[in-house]
Amino acid sequence: MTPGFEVLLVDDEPIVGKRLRTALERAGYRVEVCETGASALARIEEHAHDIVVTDIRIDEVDGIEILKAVKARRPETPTILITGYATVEVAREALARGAFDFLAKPFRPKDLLRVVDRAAAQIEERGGKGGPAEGP
Amino acid sequence: MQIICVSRGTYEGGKELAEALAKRLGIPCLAREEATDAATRAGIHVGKLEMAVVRRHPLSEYLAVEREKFQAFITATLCERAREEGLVYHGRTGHLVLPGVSPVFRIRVIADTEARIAQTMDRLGLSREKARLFNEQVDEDIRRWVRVLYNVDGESPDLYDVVVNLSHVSVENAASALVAMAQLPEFQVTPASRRALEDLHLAARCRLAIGGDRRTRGMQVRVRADRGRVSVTWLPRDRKAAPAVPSILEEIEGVREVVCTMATTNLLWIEEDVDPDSETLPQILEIAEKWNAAVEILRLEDGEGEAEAAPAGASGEPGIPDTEAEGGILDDGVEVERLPEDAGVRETMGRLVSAGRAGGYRAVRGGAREILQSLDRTSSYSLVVVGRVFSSKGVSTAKRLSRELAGSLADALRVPVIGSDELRSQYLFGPGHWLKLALHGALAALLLFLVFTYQAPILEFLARGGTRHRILAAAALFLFVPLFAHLYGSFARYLFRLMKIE
Repeated sequence: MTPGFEVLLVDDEPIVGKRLRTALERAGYRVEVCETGASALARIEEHAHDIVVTDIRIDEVDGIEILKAVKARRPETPTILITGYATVEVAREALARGAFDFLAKPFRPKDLLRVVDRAAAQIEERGGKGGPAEGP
Repeated sequence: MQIICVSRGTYEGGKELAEALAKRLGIPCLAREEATDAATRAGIHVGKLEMAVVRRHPLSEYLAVEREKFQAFITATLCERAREEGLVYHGRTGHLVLPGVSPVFRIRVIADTEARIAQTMDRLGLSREKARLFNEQVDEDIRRWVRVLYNVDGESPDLYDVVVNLSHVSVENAASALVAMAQLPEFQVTPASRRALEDLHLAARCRLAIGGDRRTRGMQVRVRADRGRVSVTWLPRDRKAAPAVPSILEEIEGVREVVCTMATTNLLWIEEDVDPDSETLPQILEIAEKWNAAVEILRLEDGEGEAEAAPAGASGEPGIPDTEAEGGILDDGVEVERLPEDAGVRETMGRLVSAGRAGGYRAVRGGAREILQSLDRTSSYSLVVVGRVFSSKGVSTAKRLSRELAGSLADALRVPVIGSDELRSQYLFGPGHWLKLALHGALAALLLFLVFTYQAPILEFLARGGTRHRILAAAALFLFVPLFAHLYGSFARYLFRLMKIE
């Protein structure tokens, strides 16, 4: 994995943001955390992160909205969804809308790291940072 | 009190129909999504179960425990809501958690494929092809979910009282017809069905209490309740946690007596390459069903040294992670849902878990000594099945080593040890047994026929005087009695095996 990939992490639970941020930063990623859907949407408008990791249930702007926003602006950005409330319908919808992967809680930081590494590797394969990426 | 379960897929109108029914009947309506959210909040990893279905992963033993807890949660929720005013529940197959409650009105809602594709395109903004694929995938996931949780085909009309196609009839008209049907005597709660509901509710609460206690949360148990008498059956591997069960259940309102029994026994299956598609697995499963036994897989690896470690919970309690305090993020050191690395073992374990017969998995490198060292000698095994082992040693050496392994295990464990190729001939009824059954039955009948036809000469022969004759008569009886016993005994053995009576 090439260090320096920027990850936008969206989760309304501070403990989740803190733990995942620590794990990703330790692996060499640069992480920005948003605790609301609205602030995440604003950041997506302003800045092109390499990878987006978002919880599905955040607030009035949910993870699917964030996925849609990312795909509308930069379809090549891998977006990983995480949730404690996974159902087959939500998972299939996320994948149909172009999510890179879908993780059900509870999981370990290293489980997320594995998926993020896979997304980063795919970005590199597709022409380096910022290059096009596809879901699995 | 009325209980109606509406089984629905995606975009078939089941939710709208259920809500219309509840409104007309004046009873509460509960959606699956509400129940599963509540289960997740209660600490049950429903999302993990759902994702195992999406990813087509076999269930690990940890997920098998979560499955039991989820089923108990849904049962308890439905019973609680239904027993006051009645309930309309809409979800996948809610009625399957209420077995024995006969007045449950079971409605299956479907819609035409094209109408569903149009709905999916409209709601998700997908192209026609993507919408079609989405519907197919979700349908397959739900089919698989029902199979994994209840081992039935959720789309089979046998499971329902009515199937309604909402592409052909409006929600309002369907609701009118179904409200009229719901008034039929067949769908009215009787004292017997109310009692069945109370028993199910108590059993579900007990199951949840076992799953919620730190000491017993990894146990795989079957809980039954009958007027306050709760019986809990647990697997041999959970014997360390089992003593805590009575004290947990005695606290629960409605429990008068607790009876805990260990599931009868374990079958130990030793194999080098565990193949889920081999003939051995269904045969072992059939025997396990007959004996109410759990199947423990021991993968024997060739050579010496460390073998693949058994996954969490394989030979002890499944590793149920504690997630309450950390927002669903575990420590990296926690072992969750670690499946065997070997694909064959993984798939085989999944099938055993689905059948409720998984008794753990371990991998051992070496031979009989290493196997015996690895076994928990306090486990009660009823049968050891030795499949193909030592295959790298050449045919004759492998046969000799297998025989020696079987001998050592039989001596040490004092239970029958047989080859996997002997399972059918020893414990099951195969095609060749029809001939044996007929032959032994015919010969036993022939002997009886001859004895009763020629009673006078036989009696005369037996009663004739003289030492020589008496010795001859004794010798004849000496030969006849075991011959008849053998023929009749074999006939009875095959007959019982055919009838699956042990």
